[in-house]
Amino acid sequence: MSTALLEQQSETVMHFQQLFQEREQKLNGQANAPLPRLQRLAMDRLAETPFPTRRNEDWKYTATTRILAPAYTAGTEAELAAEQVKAANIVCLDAYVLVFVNGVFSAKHSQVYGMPPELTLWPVKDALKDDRFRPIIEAQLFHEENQVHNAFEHLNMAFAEHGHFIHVPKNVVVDKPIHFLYISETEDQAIFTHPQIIISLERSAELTIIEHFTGTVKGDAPYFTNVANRFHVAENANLKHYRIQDESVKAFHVNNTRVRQDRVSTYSGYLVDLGSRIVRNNLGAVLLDESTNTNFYGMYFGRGEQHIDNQTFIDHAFPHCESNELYKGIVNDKASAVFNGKVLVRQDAQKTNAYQQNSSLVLSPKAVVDSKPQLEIFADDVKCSHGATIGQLDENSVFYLRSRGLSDEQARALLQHAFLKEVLDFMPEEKVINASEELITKKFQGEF
Amino acid sequence: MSDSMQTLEAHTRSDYKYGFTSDIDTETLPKGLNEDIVRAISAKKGEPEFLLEWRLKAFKYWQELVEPTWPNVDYPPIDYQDIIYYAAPKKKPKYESLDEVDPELLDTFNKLGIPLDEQKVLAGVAVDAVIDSVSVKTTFKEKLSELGIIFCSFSEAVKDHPELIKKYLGTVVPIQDNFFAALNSAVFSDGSFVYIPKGVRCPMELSTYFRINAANTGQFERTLIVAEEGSYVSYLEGCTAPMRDENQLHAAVVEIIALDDAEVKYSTVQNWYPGDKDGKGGIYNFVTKRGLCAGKNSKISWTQVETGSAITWKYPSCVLKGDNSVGEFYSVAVTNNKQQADTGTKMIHLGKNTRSTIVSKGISAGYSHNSYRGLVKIGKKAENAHNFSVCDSLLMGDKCGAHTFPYLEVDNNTAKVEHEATTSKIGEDQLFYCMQRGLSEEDAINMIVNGYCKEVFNELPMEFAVEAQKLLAITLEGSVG
Repeated sequence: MSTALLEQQSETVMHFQQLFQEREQKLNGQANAPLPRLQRLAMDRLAETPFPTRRNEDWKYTATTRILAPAYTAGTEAELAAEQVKAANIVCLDAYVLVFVNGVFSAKHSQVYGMPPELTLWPVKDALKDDRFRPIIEAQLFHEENQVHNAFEHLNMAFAEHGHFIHVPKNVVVDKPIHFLYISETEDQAIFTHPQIIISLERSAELTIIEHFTGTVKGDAPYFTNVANRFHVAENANLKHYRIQDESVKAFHVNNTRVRQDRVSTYSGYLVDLGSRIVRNNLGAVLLDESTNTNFYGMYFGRGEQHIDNQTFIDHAFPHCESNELYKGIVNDKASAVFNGKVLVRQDAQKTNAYQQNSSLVLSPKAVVDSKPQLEIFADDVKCSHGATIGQLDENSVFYLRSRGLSDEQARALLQHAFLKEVLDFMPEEKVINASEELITKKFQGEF
Repeated sequence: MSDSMQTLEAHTRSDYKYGFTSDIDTETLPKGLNEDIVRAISAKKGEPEFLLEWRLKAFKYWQELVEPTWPNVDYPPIDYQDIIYYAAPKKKPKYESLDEVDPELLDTFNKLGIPLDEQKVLAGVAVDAVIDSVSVKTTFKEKLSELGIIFCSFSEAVKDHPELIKKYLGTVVPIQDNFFAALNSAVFSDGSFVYIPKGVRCPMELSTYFRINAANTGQFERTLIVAEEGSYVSYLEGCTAPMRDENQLHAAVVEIIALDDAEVKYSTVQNWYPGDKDGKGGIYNFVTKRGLCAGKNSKISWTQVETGSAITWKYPSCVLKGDNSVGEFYSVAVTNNKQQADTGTKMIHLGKNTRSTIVSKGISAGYSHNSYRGLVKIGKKAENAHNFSVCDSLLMGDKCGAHTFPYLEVDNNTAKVEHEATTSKIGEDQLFYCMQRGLSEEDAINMIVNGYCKEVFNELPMEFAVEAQKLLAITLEGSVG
């Protein structure tokens, strides 16, 4: 690492440490409560773990220096009008809604009535005080199966105050999706927020969650959303996870989501990336037993100077598991997109089926796509494939549509839409599809 | 299932049958590497001043470098001070007639279908006995020089054509390129030089086999091929016959320059000692190969069949600088026992309308690991560039590994890049079908594997292709062959 980079890093970490100490001083003797203790631990680890740079192979295409440059402070709750929240919400979606304004949970805007009584949805700081849940949470936070935690995850743990813990007991099917709506707003002071969701699904439980990020930057100061999620899906359980990332294009977004799956469980991720100046998603699934099913359906659309980096990892350690990955994206203007998908099939993971596909459209001379689909296979009786394509719109198709009376612009927009629609069509929840499509249309029209 | 599994394992567990021959070197420099050694090598070869300076510059740069560790291969650290960097051409044991040659070796030759006279040369039977070969060699030489083609050892080229060496050496693989290229630049002992003048189509396949003094050019080879405007050459490196070679580390450099409308086809068959079945010994084949399509409409095509070496770590690459230039890469890499291969290609598209094709077939058996690592980069100004890549892996046995690390980097919106990869094993149904038609299990496996590699073998020159098929069978021997 160059000395300039080192200096910047140590300055950043010092800044974080200072913020941490200031907050600790305000704890008023609560420093020994379970959450602050964990935070202290995470802070110590952060001091030992440097932030990744482009010298790290996995971060080759994304520089973290720009993300870490502003002097962030922790976000504080701002007044939001009910209409503003409503505008950000997904139209007509029947769900339990948890609203976070600048990272702070807002009970006023949230709607959690009528939840099944068996379901536990608690703030992490309360759940940690409960003897039933503390071991579950700690296990989720500290396991590092085959993936060393990066500095952003430590940073999240050190500063996350409003993380939530969801526990769904055996055989319970949660009737409605749980919608986490994160709204951020900045003017002159850069803020960072640390959303955190820890989920534990017990045997044969079912749950759908929607993570939804949106925000505005009114002045010059950006905001930085640093997410860390931990999901555990037990035997025969089913977790559907939507993520709609529609942050301001001046904001930064880092998302670390780690999934652990037991026997015959299913995890499906539906991932929509539209916003942020720089977004980096690390999505990893570790398969802990046989016959699991893992699906990643990702879609991204970059315009302006956006940079969208998707990193996925699936660790097949047991036989008869299946994984599907489909990532499709469009880059226009000066935007750039990165896809780095890794599938590891260990020696015992016979009869594994693993498929991975990444397709990108590059629509302007200054747009850039870097794609790196990787397979590492140690078992012989497997079916694994990956494919990657990078190209443009088919001019014949454009011509066909124009011959039917569409303008050039309309024809191109329609084709791009259709390109992305393939991914959206995998979503079971129609309202989320509609909401995503609306956001995409807005983006086509230049409102980004 | 378990039956065929066992047979497969039995097939792939065989040894490399050709042990090393020990021989005595006459003229060697002491072990180790320092500036004096570099100077001594240069002096021994009577090199001009510019080359010595070039070597020293490379050596200085190499000292600052750290050996890279990113490849997907494992080997104990190399002690660079424990290597002899210069040995005069070694003498092979001479035999009076073929009867004295190791019968197993002859057996391999027969399996490969090598003509009797060639067998004699390869096995080291006294060359003067093989009159035909010698005369062939000289007629070839005459014919080539008539056309103005220069094909000689690197040292000869330095003496006879220093202006060409000065002009082209290091233009494709500069000394700063990588650790092993810098090392090679400092200490290379010899190699081949090919120059095809403007508009000449080389009438025959050029092979190191026909070059005088070609045997044992040493571990730090340097090959330079220059194809002038409108010329064509097909160059063969290596030999399907097993190579008896003692040097553990091979850090060679191959540079190709193709000017306007020129075409260069470079085929490699590599069958060096892979080490025994426990992974002891064997050659480290760390080679930097790169071709520069400098002119318009030029074309460089790499074809490689890699079956030997304990570790193969190389990426024959094409820099497509000229407009409309074409790069191709066809590869079959077979690993067995404890062999490791991390190989692939780089296609750097810089010019307009450049095209590249990558076809890579990996086969891993035993405890081996086979990785494909490739880069396709489309530069900002490379309008209408097109790449198509396929990399398939075949796994034989459940203790081996197959890995793919493709990098696609596209900076231009008119580019079309397609990549696909699959990993699978030989289908039970395919095996069953072949056996039901009366083929033995070995023949069936052999046939399926050859079919799988067909696309690449089709790119090899005729006689090589036939041999390569057989070689594949021998590498996966046990009963596959």
